[in-house]
Amino acid sequence: MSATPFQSQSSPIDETGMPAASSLEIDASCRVPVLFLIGKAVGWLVLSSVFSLMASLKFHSPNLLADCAWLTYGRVQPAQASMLIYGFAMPAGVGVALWLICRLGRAPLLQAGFITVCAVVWNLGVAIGVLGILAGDSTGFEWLEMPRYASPILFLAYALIGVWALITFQQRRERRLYVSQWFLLAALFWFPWVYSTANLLLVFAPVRGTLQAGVNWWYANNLNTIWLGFVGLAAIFYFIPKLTNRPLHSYSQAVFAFWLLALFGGWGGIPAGAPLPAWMPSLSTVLGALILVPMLAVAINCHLTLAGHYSKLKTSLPLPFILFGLVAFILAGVLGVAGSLHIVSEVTRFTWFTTAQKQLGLYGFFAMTMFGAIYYIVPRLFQSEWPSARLVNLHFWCAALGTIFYVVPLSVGGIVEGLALNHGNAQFMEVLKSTLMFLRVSTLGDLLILIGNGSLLVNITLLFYRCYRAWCLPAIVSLTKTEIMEVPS
Amino acid sequence: MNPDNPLPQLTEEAEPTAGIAATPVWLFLLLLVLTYWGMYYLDKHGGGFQTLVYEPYSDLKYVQSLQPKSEEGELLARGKRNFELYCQICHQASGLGTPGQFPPLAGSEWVNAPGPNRIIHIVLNGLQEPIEVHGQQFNAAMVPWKDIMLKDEDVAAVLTYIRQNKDWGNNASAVKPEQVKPIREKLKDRSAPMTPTELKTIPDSE
Repeated sequence: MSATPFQSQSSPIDETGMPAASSLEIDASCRVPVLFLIGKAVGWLVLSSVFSLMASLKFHSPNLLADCAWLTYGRVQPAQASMLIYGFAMPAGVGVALWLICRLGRAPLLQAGFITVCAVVWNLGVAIGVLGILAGDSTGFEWLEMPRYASPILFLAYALIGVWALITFQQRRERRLYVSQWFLLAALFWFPWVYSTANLLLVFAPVRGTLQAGVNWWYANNLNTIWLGFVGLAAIFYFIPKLTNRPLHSYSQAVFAFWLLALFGGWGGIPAGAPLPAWMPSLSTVLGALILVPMLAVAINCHLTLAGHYSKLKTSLPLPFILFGLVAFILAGVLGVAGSLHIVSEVTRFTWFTTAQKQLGLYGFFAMTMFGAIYYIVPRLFQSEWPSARLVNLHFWCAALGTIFYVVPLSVGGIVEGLALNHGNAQFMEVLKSTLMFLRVSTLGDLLILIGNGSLLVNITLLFYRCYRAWCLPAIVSLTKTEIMEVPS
Repeated sequence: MNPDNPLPQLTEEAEPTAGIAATPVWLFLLLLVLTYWGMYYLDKHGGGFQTLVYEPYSDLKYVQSLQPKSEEGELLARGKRNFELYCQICHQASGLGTPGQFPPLAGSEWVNAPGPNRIIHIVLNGLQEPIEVHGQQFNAAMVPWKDIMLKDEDVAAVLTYIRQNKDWGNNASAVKPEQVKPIREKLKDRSAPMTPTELKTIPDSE
């Protein structure tokens, strides 16, 4: 790894002659919108963990809050998923993406105020959507539960943020691209496309019959594999070299992974045995399985970048999160491919296995990667270190163990459940009861995840308070002082 | 900034760069192997990209063999085959024939007669002398088919297809092999084609 063709640090001038913006300048431009996006995202995250715990508890204590229609399982579960995806994952991803686009382009964020307004609108949309779900207006489509009066708000807010993200990217002062920008740019375009298509075909002008299920699978897979995958990988490819202070092993291998994921990643998701013409699930399985290659390429690329420098895990706060995310990304991918195969799917479909696989991708991979990014970005935006490194470590261990306690029992339980259900004379209730033990352990996982997420919220609140005291309070005090001084004159 | 509470300086690493190491060849080979497996998997489970094949089936022919069949449906399919083989060249796929030469079958009063006996005669022994359909004259002679369509079922099938062809606006009763059999017997020794005048002596309703 001798030559590095992208020695961007030493080539700060682009064709237009604009000098590269300093990181301080960039961080100042990103401060308000990115902190707003991330701050609100963490709030939604903790709320979603509370709801997730509530939903999990209902499996072994069905009487819990059963009298309140707003808090029945059928509403709590989609509400927590929507909060996790549209409340936390997407705004956090957009916030991280904006910061990465600016940092890699060496250019300040354009229209930060406008983007902040859009972020407020997005959060308003999420709030309306979640309240709508709790009120019973869910559309009933997985990951698209938000009612029709909320989804256009989200679309509009995202599109407007996306436009300024693209213009910022176009105005970049370092013209040479780094791999993360490939992923971010694709993700920026991908969401409006799949979100509008899925909403049109399912909610506004619904297609007929089982095709609805096909559209739903297509959307969930695209959001999961492409949008979350691309934003997460952009962060992984940025932070692993950054935190270890080494160049990424191979540019071409990262781009290879990008194209394969972009070409094949969006086809998967339709499970074997789906009520659609047989070629659809089969094609989905085959093209879904091809993404094992880019996953392997990502893993090797990151490993060779890190090789010999794994000791940085001990000293860096964000790196363990990023690495956990990477491992979960690979594992979730392998589980997903395995689950889509005919032989495996016969056992695992309609069981907890799918839930476990989704959680591993959504939380184990994406949320963890975002945590790593948040732990790096937020102190730079606040210009202040985290108040408590212990809380960060607590977050990591709780989130990591929580994910393991959630995913492992549910995968095993799903397989046990599926094997039992496939017996012709299986007693359905007996089989369900046999999964209770696994569900109890997964509740423990939910609880750990809640504690971990809570410690992030506490840490970020403390940091906010500290900066408020350091910056805003003196400003307010001096403002009031001058006012007092002005009165007599 | 409050000077009493200085914020700690953050260390900042350089923005990441990427090396030029090549993508290993075995990743491409793995992609090829997976593609090969994918072809096999699609071949086995893909149902030949037919929209009628659903899980757990993978073969259109097998799926069709499981469908309940009606005798009438089979008769129509056989009639269509025969029509395409023998009749279409003159009477056209549209059933409209050719002006002045080959009379139309679509909407023809001869075809849509309540009884099929007249046209059974025509198909078996052919036709000579001009025939009038929809008030127009058609001059071309028609060859006899009794030595080509040896089975009564074939004649019945093609006539059913013609008489019941909804695309042509025809909607007459089906023709059964038992209706063809006595006429074939009667015409066994006659080689001359039928004439319209002769045909008119056969009652319309039979």
